[in-house]
Amino acid sequence: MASADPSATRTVMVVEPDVLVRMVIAEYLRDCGYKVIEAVGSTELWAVLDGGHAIDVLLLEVSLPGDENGFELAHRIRQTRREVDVILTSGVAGTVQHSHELCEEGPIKTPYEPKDVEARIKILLERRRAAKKT
Amino acid sequence: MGPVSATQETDEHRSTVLLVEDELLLRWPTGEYLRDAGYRVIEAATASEAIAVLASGVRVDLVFSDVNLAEEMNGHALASWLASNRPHIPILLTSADRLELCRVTVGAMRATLSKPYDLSAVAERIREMLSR
Repeated sequence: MASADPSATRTVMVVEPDVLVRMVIAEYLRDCGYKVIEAVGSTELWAVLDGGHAIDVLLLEVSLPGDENGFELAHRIRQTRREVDVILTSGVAGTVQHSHELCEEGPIKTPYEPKDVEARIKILLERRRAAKKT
Repeated sequence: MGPVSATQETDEHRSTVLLVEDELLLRWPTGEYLRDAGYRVIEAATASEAIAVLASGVRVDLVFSDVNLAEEMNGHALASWLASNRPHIPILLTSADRLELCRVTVGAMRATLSKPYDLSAVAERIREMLSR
């Protein structure tokens, strides 16, 4: 299993309404060394972001209960929280095309392999690191 | 104050706590504290999520649940479900409403803890229940 650099623990927020999917990916990412915040939907997501908690990567399911879906949330976050990288996840057909407009690295089709998600997170974090250096 | 260390050390023997709390800003730090204390923690936001986890066959050693949950099914109903379907799993119920906690029939498999709670008290209570 891959592991994150323990000297720089990164926080991943998982927004996923299916508890069983959330449980598996959250545990996998914790085992990889990430700090993970689990959220059910957009209300919880904003409670964390508005509370000033630092999030490095947001793993966001497209189909969410409530008013805002993952696309709309990703759009808002892209505009207002440039420091947060977003990975969209979805099993819905047509999502791929739509998502490319919202995030450079995505989306991930469900059901996904947790290791593929972790690999994607690593790419995004590495890109941030490289951008900071230049 | 640092976390109370769980007696279990290895992954295979870590006790699993199913934490049921609808308020993320409470669920998250509680979960982190219990993980630091050595437990494996599964987070659920509602009683129906908790039942989905229990029904999936994942090993759960103890349920720590808020009584007042956002959906129709509250902590009392979850405790009843557990007594009927998973009678070997103990449940620790918490609430800020003392009258709600008075309604709980405390026994070997059921205990209460009032809110607001110290995280160290939660870990201590769980350790105590699991060692019975």
